[in-house]
Amino acid sequence: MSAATSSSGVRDLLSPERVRLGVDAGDWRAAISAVGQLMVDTGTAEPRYIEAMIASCEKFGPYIVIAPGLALPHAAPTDGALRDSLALITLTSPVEFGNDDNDPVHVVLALSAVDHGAHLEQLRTVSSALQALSDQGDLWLPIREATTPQHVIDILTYNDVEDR
Amino acid sequence: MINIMTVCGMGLGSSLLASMSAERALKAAGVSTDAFRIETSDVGSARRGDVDIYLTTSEFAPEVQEWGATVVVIKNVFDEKEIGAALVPAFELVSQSQ
Repeated sequence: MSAATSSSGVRDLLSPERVRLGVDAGDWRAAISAVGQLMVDTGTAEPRYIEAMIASCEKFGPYIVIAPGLALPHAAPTDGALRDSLALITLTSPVEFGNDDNDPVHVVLALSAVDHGAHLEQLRTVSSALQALSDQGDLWLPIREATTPQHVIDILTYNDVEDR
Repeated sequence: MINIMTVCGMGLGSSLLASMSAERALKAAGVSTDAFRIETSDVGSARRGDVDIYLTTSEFAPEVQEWGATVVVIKNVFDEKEIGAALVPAFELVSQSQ
């Protein structure tokens, strides 16, 4: 697979209509609802997927805060995932998820996957971009300072562009 | 061959990201890619006799630690340095005992 193809894969997963900047969320449930609604509105997940993401966090604890300031909520493919997709919101005020190491959360990146395999390459691309940001010391800051959804997508596909 | 398994709630989000960072951390430490295999799993089906090292976060650690294998606990799935600092010594210990 060429870098260009894999980049379009990420852009398909995370399209501008599934990115919203400056969301007001009172708590972590509201944050997950807001990011999940972007999936529902664009047809990549059923409404029950939102409840499943919240239930998963309640069941397993706030492990979804996978890095300082960043939460990755997701549920199982059978919980109403319709398409592989990513959705992202930035929060105007950070929210506590209850994760001692990585709270508070500024950026919520939700994942829907229809199986355990197909989204792997796209997630790898996003992971490598986030890894690069983490190495620079500010994982969420560049995303939080983005002014347009497209800008966020460009940040998360940065390594693909670099590889071309 | 050391079998490493990353564990999270669903086996498709954080465990996948952690596996990518773990692979990079081992390569950065000079470990040959022939010397290990990394799989991802959800906590419900991760318990298996052939796993040498489990890599997980603090939420799942108490359960995973009851399974008898070496457990490495991480905080930031993107932090290759943090993961390397915890995983590489564990990897060397397990390698020596095989």
